[in-house]
This record gives sequence, structure tokens and C-alpha cells, in this order.
Amino acid sequence: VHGGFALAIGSALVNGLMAGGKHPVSIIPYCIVGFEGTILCGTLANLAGVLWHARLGRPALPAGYDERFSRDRFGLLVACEPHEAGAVRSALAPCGAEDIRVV
Amino acid sequence: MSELTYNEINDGVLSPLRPPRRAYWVALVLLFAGIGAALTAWIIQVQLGMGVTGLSKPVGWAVYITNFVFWVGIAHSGTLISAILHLVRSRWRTAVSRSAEAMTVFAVMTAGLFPMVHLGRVWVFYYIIPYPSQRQLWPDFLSPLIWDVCAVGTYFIVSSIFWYVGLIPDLAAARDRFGASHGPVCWRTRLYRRLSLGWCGAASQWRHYGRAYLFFAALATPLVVSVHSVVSWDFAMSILPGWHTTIFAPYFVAGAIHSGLAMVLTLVIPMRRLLKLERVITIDHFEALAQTMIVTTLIVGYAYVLEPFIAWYSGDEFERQFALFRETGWIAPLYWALPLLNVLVPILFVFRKVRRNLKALFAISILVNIGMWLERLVIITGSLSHDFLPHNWLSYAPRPVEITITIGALAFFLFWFFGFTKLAPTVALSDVKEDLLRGRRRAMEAGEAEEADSASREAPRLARSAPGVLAIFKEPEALLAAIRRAKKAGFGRIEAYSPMRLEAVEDALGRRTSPVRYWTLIGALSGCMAGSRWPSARRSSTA
Repeated sequence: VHGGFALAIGSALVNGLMAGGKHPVSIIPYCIVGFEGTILCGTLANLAGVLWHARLGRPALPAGYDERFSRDRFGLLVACEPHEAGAVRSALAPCGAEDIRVV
Repeated sequence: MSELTYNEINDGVLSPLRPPRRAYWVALVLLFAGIGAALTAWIIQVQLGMGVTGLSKPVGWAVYITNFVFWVGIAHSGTLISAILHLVRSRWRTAVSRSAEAMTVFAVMTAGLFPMVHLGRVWVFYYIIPYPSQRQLWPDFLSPLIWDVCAVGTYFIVSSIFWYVGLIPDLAAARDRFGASHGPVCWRTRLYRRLSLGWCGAASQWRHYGRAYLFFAALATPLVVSVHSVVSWDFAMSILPGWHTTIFAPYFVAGAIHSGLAMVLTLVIPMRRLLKLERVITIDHFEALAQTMIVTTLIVGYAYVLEPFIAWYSGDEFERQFALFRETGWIAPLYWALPLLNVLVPILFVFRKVRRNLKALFAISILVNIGMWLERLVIITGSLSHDFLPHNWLSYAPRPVEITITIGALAFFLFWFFGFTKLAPTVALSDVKEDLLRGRRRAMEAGEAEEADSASREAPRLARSAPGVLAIFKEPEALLAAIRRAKKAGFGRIEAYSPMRLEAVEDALGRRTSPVRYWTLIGALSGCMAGSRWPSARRSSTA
């Protein structure tokens, strides 16, 4: 991967065109290319980060997912062993759940 | 809008995704015909050469470059509304941000056509792309035209990603709605399932999503300013009278946002009516847009006053004669139309009655669009047609090929926008729902104090197939209470699901700041600096 500055400086050195006795590399105008590279690669890395950490890209939905969660309902999944289900139910019951089920 | 329920918002925004009526198809065919006509005109131009256009010496840039600058400018307000207003927590943006983002992407696509159309020999367009060719000829990064390629290319990629990432939770809502009504094998359900990338609205997803969206906004904000500044330097870096001025960057950026906001009004006012979105997109949203336009109107007006003032104050003979030419030469009718269309007409938005009148808003937005297109034409052709040498002065008029391609480009833009309105949610569903909830935020925040002790322990993330007990709640407050009770009862492996981001829930779950920030930082630093010299460069330096 080449950043904006590396791309601009590398290109100038490959071309090696001397104009008016000046060095082919000129840092000030390359700041624009460096800036665009910063934004572009920062955005792509940000996208990669959210895809990775939010586990996106896997079409399978989690067990017990209810389609109402994308509409107007809120869900809480408490992971537990089968023998603990009763205890979880009784802990959640006073909170006004519309539906409680084992998944 | 505050009287709506989450379900009503869902229905209101997703209902327009139903199969279109005949009028929609007729409009689509007409737009397609416009694109076909432009394509035909372009093929004629490629076959016969640039002589079929009105371009000549000295006016080598005219309508095509005008269109490029105009459409890049149109693209600006989408990112302004989405990114900048997101950073400043402006609430009114949510209803129009999605359409504005879509407009941004389609406008950049339209703008991107014109450098190729203008090039004439389109088959050598790839010369401008920085890659190691067999001749070792690389683009010169000292040229503003190459900066333009970098800036507009970056803007297109960043805007597209920003738009798509914002769409993911809403595509999941569309997936669930069509899955329930049409079944899992319906093409729309399958399309939205693929595009939503397995989004389930888990708190662990919202945490990373919220952080990443903030970074997208933070990265896009300076990009908005940079892109049109770079476009303005295509002109300002030259020495032509009228172009060689330091006000061009802010002048272009303000003008771009001005025209972009006008285009949002032009598109969203009829879209709201046709898709029956009146309850979600209200007159208050349009009023806020109009108020923002007052600011851009004043900046553009200031630039219009400043241009002739600088010409006079500089004492430069060429600048003075050029200012006089604009005011009295063949271009004068167009020049004098600019303050009328771009300043005096939109300044009417200072009156509340005008801001809240849809017909007035729509009419003014169209006049501003025309005015801003003319502004670019006056800037570009004016300086070229009246430079330092009187024997070189000439006028310019577009030929049918240029006019056809210009109209076809508008059809191209509208074609994509029409497609968008029937394939994706046109309003940011999760953002609008979050806005609704914000009114009740105090109740949510009251519970946060109680989370302080539990927040120190981060709830581990669950596997997708983890067995357990699932509880469904109607209100987020109940969800919060349930999380507290579950943690108090000793159950730490929990996950919450919601149709919008709930920061209080993330806090209650004890989740810490998303590590996405490290990805972004490393990406940005490597994008700026990282790299090495090419082997050929080493060869030449050692030779």
C-alpha cells in the first residue's frame, strides 16, 4: 500500500524531470495527494474495522432473532444453561416483557 | 413527527418500496431515452471529433467543464447534511439525509462522465490513473488536474461507503418486512438480506457501527471542503484574469453547498409527495434547509461583491478590463443573472412564509440550480474568451451535441435517483427512530447512574447460536431494567437487540469504546505517509 506522499514523491522520482533547475520533488503540492490518501485509506480501514468487529458479512442471523427487532421491539437474550432458564425467566418477568421464550 | 410510533415510521418509509405504478415506468423510459440521446451525441462526437462542439481557440473549456463543476458542487450538500450536521448533532438532518447522500453519489457519477466526454480521445483516459505503465510514464502530481482526479475519486469512494454503511440497518428493516410479507425467496427479501450483511441490531453491532459512523463523518467533513477547493484550483492556479484569485476555494465551496441544498429541495419536495412521506418529512425540515440556504446565499453574495472589488482594488489593468467585460460584454446578461438568481431570489427565505411554502421553495430551488449552473458557465467561458490579448477575444455558444449531452446527463442523474427511491429506504429509519426516542432520553439517562457499578464489568459477546432465554419488550426502558436485573441475578452473558442505537443500553452492558478507532487511525496514517520507492526509481537513482 502506498500513501499519498509516497505515491507523489515516487512518481516524481521515476519521471525525474528537472524543470527550471528545480528538484523534481515538491512537497507543498503533494500535501493534497497526501491528504486525499489519508481520507481514503482512513475510510477504507474504518469500513474494514466495522465489518470485522460488528461481524458483518454473514447473512445468517443469530438464534432467536425476531424480525420485530428492526421495527419497533427491543430484545434481550440471556445466555444460560437449560437448567438455568427458570431462574432467568423469573428474573426478567417483573420487567414487563411481552414475550419470554427459550431459544 | 413526534406523535408517530416506531411502527408507523417503519411502514411510512418502507411502503414506497412496493412495485411501482405505470407512471413510474413511463418516467423511467423517458429518462432512459434522454440517456440514449446523449450517448448517440457522444458517439457522434467521438466519430467526428471535437469540432462538432462549440469549443475552439481560445474557449477550450465550456459546457462540459461547466457540467463537471456543477455536478461536483451538487454532490456537496449530501455530505454536508449527513456528515457535518451529524457531527454538530443537528436533529433535522435525519429526514432528508439519506436522499441527500444518494444525490451526492449520483451527482459525482454524473460529474465523472464529463472529463471523459471533454477529453475527446476517451480511450486514453487511463493515462491519468497512477499506475506503473510499460513506458514508466507517471502522472505529474504537480498538476491541479491530477489533484482533481485524486480528490473527486476519493470523494466518490468515501461518499458511496458513507451512504451504504448508513443504509445497512435500514436494509435490515426492509429485509425483515419483505421476509414477513413476501417470504424468504422473494427477490427483494434476498436482495436486502445480502445487502444488510447479517445486521441484527445487536448492541455489540451498534457500538462499533456508531463509532465507525462518527469517524466516517469526521473524515468526510474535511473532504467536502477539500474537493471543491481542489476543483476551484483547476482555475485559480492559472494566470487568467478572473480565475487567478485566492477567494476561489471558499467561493466554490459555498457555491457548491448553495446549489446542493437547492437540489435537495428540488428532489425531495416531489419525492415526499409521490412516496407519501409527508408524516416523516415535514415542512419543518424544509424550513431548516431554507434557513441553511440563507447562510450560503450571504456567502455567495459576498463573493459576488468581492470579485469586482478585488479587480478594482488590485490596480491590475487586465483584471479591471475583464471585470468591465463581464459587466458590459456579450456575457453581461448571464453575469447579471447571477446575483438575481443566486442571491436576490433565495434571500427571500428570510421570510418565514416563503420558507414554509412548498411551491415557493420548489420554484426558488429550481431558479438557484439554473443560476448556479450559469455561474460556472460565466466563470469558465468568460475568462477564456477574454484573456490578455484583444485579437484573441471570441465568444462562445454551445452546439446541439453539447446541449444533448448536458440534458442527457440530467436524465442520467434522475434515472439513478428514481431507481433509488424504489429500491432503498429514502429516509434514515434508525436515525428518525432515535430522534423520537431522544425526547424521552431523560428517563433513559436516569437509569444510567445505576449502571455505574455494573459498567466496570464488560458483558462478553455471545456466539450467534448461544442458547438462552429471549425476552421481547415494547419500550427501551423495560429493556434497560431487564439488563440490570439479569446482571444482578448473576447472568453476565447477555445481548440486547434494538431498531436504533441505544447508548444507555451499551453502557448498561458495560461495553467499552469500540476498537474501530485503531483501524481508522492506522489506515489514515498509512494513507498519508506509508510506501516505498519503486525498484525503477532506485535503478534510475543509482544509474
